[in-house]
Amino acid sequence: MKVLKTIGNCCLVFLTVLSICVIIAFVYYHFFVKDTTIGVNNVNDQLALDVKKADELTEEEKDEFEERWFMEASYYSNAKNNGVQLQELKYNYFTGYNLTSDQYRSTGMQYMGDFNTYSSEVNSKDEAQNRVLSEFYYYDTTNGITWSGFKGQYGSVSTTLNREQQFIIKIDDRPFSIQLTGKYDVHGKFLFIKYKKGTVYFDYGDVFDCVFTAIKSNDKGYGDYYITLDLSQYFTIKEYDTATKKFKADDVTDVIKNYAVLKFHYDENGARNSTQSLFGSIACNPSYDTEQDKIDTTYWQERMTYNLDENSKLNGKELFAYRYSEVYGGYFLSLTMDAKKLFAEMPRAKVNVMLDLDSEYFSTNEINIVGFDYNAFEGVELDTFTVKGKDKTLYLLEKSLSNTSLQVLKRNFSIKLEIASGAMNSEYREVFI
Amino acid sequence: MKNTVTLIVFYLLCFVIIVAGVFCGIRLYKEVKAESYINGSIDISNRFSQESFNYSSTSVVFYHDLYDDTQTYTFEKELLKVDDFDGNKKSYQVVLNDYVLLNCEINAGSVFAMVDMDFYNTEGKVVNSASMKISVKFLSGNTQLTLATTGKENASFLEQYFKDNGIRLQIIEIL
Repeated sequence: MKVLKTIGNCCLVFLTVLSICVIIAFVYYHFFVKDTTIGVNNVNDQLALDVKKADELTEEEKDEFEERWFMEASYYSNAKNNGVQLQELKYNYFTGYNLTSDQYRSTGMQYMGDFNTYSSEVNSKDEAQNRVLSEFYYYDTTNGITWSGFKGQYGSVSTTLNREQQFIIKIDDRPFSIQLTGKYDVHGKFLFIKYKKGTVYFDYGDVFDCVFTAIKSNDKGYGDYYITLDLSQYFTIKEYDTATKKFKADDVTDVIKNYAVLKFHYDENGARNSTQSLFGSIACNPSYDTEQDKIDTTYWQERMTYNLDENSKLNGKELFAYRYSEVYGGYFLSLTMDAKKLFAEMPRAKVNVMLDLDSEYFSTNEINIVGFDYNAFEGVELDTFTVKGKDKTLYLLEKSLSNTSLQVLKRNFSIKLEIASGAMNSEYREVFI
Repeated sequence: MKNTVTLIVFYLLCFVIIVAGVFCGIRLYKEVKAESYINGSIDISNRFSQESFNYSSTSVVFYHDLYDDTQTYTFEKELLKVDDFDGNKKSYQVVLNDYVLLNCEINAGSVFAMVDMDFYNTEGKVVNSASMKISVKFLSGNTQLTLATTGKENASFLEQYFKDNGIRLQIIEIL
């Protein structure tokens, strides 16, 4: 028993001596060894891991998927005094650590005017942590819809932008969390004695103000640009540990720099309606418009109208082709194959043809039109066909206007039409002009 | 009694030192093992010029100058400089939302085009016919795009169209 006690005491003394050595080594290393470690977190694009790379996307997909950055801002400065001044900042992040597109979420803040930050007085750290600035409109974007459920400082079904909020973001295709944690101490002096007066906690208004100061001071002026912000003073980034499934703070690196890409739009105009907003809404109103008298623009379908005449050109080339006929002693007109192909590829195009047989073009080029050639307009959907001229007979050869769904045929009374069988097969209205 | 108290104090002190030693050891290990690192990389590049003209957006908003009595509503945009546009030497095609535009006036450093659009109601009747002028000027430092229409009603219908369909305007070189 006594031997065991002696061994125990020896072990205790040994461990104590060892601990003292470790403590001395720690104190020495921590305070006297001046090694410096720098950690850098670069927050690049926030595209989901299941989204294809830009060069694999189709043109339509590019609009939707090509760009997604952690911070996006838009500033309509209203320098032209033609709308309202509007500042918007949006944070794009994920709701899970799989970083897939079904976990996309965005939260943003909007201010009508030019926001200048101020120190929000708080009575406790807890109050600072939970405080949400009420000067802003807040929006969330989920599942393709942007909405706002903010009902005041302590009530919201949209994401609240306060210091408690942690977003999951992507760095190096790995999940990280980012949180607004920045603060600084304010000191005073009393008889040469420095003392701590209090602590100022940064809020999202401070970040907002800095971002828009950066935008306003850019040397390229108005336009769409990307810059890299140094968020080290404001945000803390924690890496996700896949083994423990925890986001762990880095408390050993001496200097941690956090850089993030900001994409911004800086406009000389003021915002005029809600379609210009990053959130599709201004002042929580998706129909916002500075115009007082709104016009009802409800419509079923739009059709691009093409008014073709003898001067029309497609890619610098004549739209009509002319074939000389010795039998008829003049030219037969038809659409070029390129033109037919073009209109066949645009089913919503509304095509009107207006030919003036006495026009300067025809007389200058000595083109005496005697009619429309075989298959001249076949298959091209025509709305209105107008022929002007004096004392002419026009021969419409076979299938010249077949399958055109022609609606209206306008002509001068002195123009006679000799329509071959099968030249036309649509029911049209004839108008004399 | 005094010996016992001394012993307890001794054991407690040892315990505290060992615990402190463990914490300091862990911290020391972390600090010694700590290395500088870089997570991620940033690969953005602001483009100040582009090879060919391409403008796309989800909406268009026309502005009316209060002092303008011609009822002209315009949308103006300064875009990236286009490097190699030359209307004298090359041929171009102007495409708006997949519609190839005809009768475009293509000059050495500018393009002008006209768009006519009819809007139908649910009964198939035309409720608005809007015309829009497109002007693209390729300047030495940037490219100026201007869309212009006349009248508030036309501007409103065109805004609605672009809100529904977006705008994709391309000037494509024909090789």
